[in-house]
Amino acid sequence: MAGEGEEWIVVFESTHAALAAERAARRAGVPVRMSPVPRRISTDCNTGMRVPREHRHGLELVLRGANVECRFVPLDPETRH
Amino acid sequence: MNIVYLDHAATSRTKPECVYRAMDRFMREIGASPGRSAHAPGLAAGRVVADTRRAAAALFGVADPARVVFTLNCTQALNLALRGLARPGSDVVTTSVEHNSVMRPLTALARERGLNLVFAAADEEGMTRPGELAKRLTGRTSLIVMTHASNVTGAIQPIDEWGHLARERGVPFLVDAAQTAGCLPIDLSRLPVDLLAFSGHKGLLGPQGTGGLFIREGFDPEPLMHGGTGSASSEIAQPAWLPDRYESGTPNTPGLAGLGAAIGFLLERGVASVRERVCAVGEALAAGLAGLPRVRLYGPRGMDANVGIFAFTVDGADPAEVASALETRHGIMTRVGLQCAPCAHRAMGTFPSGTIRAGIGYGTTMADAETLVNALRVL
Repeated sequence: MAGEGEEWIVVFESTHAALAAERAARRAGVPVRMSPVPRRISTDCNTGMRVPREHRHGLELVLRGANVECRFVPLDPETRH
Repeated sequence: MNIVYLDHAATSRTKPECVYRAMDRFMREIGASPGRSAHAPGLAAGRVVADTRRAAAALFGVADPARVVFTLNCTQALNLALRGLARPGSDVVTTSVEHNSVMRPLTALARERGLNLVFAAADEEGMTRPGELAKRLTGRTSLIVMTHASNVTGAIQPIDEWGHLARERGVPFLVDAAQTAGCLPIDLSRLPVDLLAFSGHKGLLGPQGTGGLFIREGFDPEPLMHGGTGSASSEIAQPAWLPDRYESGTPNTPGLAGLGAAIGFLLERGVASVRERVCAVGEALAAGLAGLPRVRLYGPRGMDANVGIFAFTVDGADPAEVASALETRHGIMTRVGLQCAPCAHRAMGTFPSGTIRAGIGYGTTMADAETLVNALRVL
């Protein structure tokens, strides 16, 4: 079902924003992994942040608190590598 | 012969050990481009730049680190601000003590865009009083630019008062902090400064090839350069957001690694604490120079008004000959001539032969000051 993938990717407009998000996530103890953004999702910033589904809402709160602009996109389990 | 390095106003020579280590570590262990690839070394390089940006923002009291953009030096930052903001046909107000990093871009812009350059005069100590600014502002003024401290005399300019005047008149205010960043506390959360250009390799104790520009929210200069940023890669137009808007091309990441370490060092020690030590040496040097009958000192002697630059001439001697003798006989390194600020020397009456400049800074000792005074005594 759309929006319910096992893993989500967070996309940003710049690396500056991506790294600010990574710092905020790690400080909050949210398990994230930086990775390239698949082209079908975005061609903005090449650096995205993957987060397990169960931590998605927590991460959204953290990034909102850090004033980081971003977009959460579910990764399709069948095409995920 | 020991070297006595008194050219900190050009470049601080001895850096904190952490600066060398950070640059070496970046080159050996990271070595990738920041902001481009999401692989481990690419991300590590990006974190180096982000850490340095955050440190610079903390040092200058800037809440949003993205408002600090990096350049290759202070001159590039000044060009970005001047070229990005000066409106065609408008007045730009500046002072008679500016470095050529301001004078030359303004002169070029006057030719290209029909700017009218208006100069506020400095007094005999190289200080530009706020009254000088007030009477030169008109409805046509599009920008005010001034140095925070003269690179010729060390005179600390009243940027607080100038900034308040600029705010009252609604004119953007650009400050050249080449000589003061890292030397004097600068709190942009309080100072009415809209744009501040800084050098990384002088008082900030970083390596050459680093500098930056603070751009307050609400100001949007045209970029000086356009190109790849690692973001919005499907677009051929420059991104609108900071810092990407002003940081095209691969940056000097090894330099920024060193700069980040240097600013970290200053944050830990405190700029005020470093300044206190420089002031003690400066007061002693000023007193020693004042006691030499053949030496004529220019600019403010008290360290309350001087960033740490002592400009002098020796009666009956060419400044270049004096500087040469200081180096060859005593191992003392100074800067001689016009110091890229011909207008300041014209105002002081020292054009074209210039002065000898002793610039003190982090690492300058009382013994260094004594060596210079004793050398001049026997010259």
